[in-house]
Amino acid sequence: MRKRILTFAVALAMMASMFTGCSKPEAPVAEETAGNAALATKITEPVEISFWHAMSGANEEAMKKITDDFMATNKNVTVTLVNQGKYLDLFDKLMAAAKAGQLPAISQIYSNRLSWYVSKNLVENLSPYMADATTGFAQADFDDIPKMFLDDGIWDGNQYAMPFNKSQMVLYYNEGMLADAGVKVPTTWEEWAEASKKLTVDKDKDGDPDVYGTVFANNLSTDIIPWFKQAGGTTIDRETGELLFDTEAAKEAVTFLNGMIQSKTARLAGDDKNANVPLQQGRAAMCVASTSALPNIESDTMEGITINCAALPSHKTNDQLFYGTNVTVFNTSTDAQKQAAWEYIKFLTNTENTAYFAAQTGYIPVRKSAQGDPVFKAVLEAKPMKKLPFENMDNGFQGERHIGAINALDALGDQLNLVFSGKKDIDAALKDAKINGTKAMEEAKNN
Amino acid sequence: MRIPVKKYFKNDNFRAFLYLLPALLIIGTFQFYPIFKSFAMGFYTKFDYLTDTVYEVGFDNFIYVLKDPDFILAMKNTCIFVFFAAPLGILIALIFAVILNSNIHFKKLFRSVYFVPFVTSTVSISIVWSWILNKDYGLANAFLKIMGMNKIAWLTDSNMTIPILIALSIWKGLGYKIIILLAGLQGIDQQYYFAARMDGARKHQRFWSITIPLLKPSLVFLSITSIIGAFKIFDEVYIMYSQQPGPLKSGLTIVYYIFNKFYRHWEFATASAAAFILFLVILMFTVLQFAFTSPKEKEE
Repeated sequence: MRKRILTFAVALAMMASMFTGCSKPEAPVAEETAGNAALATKITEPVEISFWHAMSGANEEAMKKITDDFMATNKNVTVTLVNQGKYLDLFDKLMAAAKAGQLPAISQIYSNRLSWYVSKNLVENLSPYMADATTGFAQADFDDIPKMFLDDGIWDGNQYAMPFNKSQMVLYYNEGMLADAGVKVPTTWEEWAEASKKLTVDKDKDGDPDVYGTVFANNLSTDIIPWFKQAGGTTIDRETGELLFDTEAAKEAVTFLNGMIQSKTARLAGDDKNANVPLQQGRAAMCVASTSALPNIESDTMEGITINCAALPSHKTNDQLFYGTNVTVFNTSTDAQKQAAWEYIKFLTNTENTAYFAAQTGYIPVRKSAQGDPVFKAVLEAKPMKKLPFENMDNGFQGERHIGAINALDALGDQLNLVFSGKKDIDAALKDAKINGTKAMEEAKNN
Repeated sequence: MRIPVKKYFKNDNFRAFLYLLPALLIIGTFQFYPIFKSFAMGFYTKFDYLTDTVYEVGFDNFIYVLKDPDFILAMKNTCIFVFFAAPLGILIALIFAVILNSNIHFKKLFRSVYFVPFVTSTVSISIVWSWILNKDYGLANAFLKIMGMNKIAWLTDSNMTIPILIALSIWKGLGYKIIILLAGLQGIDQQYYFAARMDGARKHQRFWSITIPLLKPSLVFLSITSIIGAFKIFDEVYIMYSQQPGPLKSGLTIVYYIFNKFYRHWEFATASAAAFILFLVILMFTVLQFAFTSPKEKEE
């Protein structure tokens, strides 16, 4: 009997604790967006905002300096930079914060993640702030920022994010190796495959090359798009959201990349984790990586190796992938915080500061005028590699950002890995990628 | 009418309940409530995650998970891992515990050495292991080279993933298991061994007939905690394979699947359904173990 009473009591306590949790009123996390109304806000009293980011090392230092400069001239605003780890850690924390109603005022974020927050009405429309006569943008500012960068932050005609740290996917190469082999920097797919073959060296003939012609990043899911575009296709239809994984263009692109991998003239980064690592150590002649890897390449390349970079070799088109995050303002902050956040973002991305940030890091200035900035001008002269993105901006594009795009592209990435490891043929893999990707994308739209 | 409060306080059961209440509240809030919530969320088929507004409910998520080839792969990988890691871990720990329990030199030193991996964070261990196993610079391949053998692509060969995870798990958990078993071994009255010797029992007979039966409570405890722990493997894969589930998903475990669905793909309901299925699997194994290992009531 005693036991029964005790068991009953324990069960009762458990149920009570469950239901105290359940009966919480379901308060909506998102505030209704105020539309264009609340713009008269000016900063007259001290206001604190936090900025969640995933920048470390030189990138973080540069951000700190710009932020300190901002606070020195805007005494009422305190900006707290919060390093949340790597990008994926940052996105995990943002999602948890969104659920808990504790989103920061500003965050770095990719557009393919931000689309969900926009759909949930959690993001502040920056267009009215930009239109403000005193603290907004002049026409010259709009013209100064490359269109593809601005477009990446626009949904339904409203600006929800501003470009911050942008980079380009490029082909890095070992100058000495190319010269020794008498190979010129490839500009087309055919030249690339040929160069990769000539540059691959297997000294001991054990079938495992000591030097690979080309090394690619490990996960080609979101990064496969430039080859799809260059073959005349794309991954996801921008208008309809339809997956275009099994088109002729897709097949041509995958066949090209797989041809190099199967002939062992190219490989994925594997143990090296990043494609630039074997290049820096003389175990690869070329690699495909982001311009943001430039500081690492400068500091960690072995003596005697000179690395340069070029645009990705083109095929039917010369599309060049630009990527990197934007900065966004969440509408869960107060009006004063949102105004302060806008003014900070405007400062962060003005000519002088975007030039400074790009000079200190491997990122690209988000304004064309930065090329005329004395600090960046000196850098361009010292490091000609930094000119490349400016030469390619007209052919530049940014990746897809539909809700569920990441899930769909991951499904494609899984199938590509099977193809590259020789376990599946291309037709079947692309067909399955489309089926699995479509299912994954649908699933992602349920919440 | 007066409520006899004093009477309640004098009641042992009621007092016991009061003592248990703080712990129950904490466990209720942080363990039972999330289990209940994730079970409920597993049924949401159309909902707003942020506002908890549910538009449609059904069994779709559970069906989706059970049919998902990735979940089946995750279940298979996890089961293979559990099948080898848990029993082998206990067996190896038992061998070391018995050795350490005999009169060997530097007993204390060995005990500390085996315990170090257990108190080191999984993240650091995984980073060190991924360095040891690097194809070009790793210690493992350097050792193979000295032996005149070919390099092995430890971290990029999909066939190596589960064996590596099993080895890592056994090595990491060894110290803890040894301590538990040593405590058990030292609790066995030496008189039994003297008596057995007098009866002429040989070493292995003494081991099987005295050591093992008397060590059973420790072994049962270890088998239950090891199996539960093994089912939850995640950190090792996440760190060692740079936030990927190993080459060709060879390290995709159930918890990785749940994590991936929840945080990467934001398929919250699917993740909840998968989490609840994992809970059921672990519960089933635990109940089975209790059923098989609990002492059968003897007839008097």
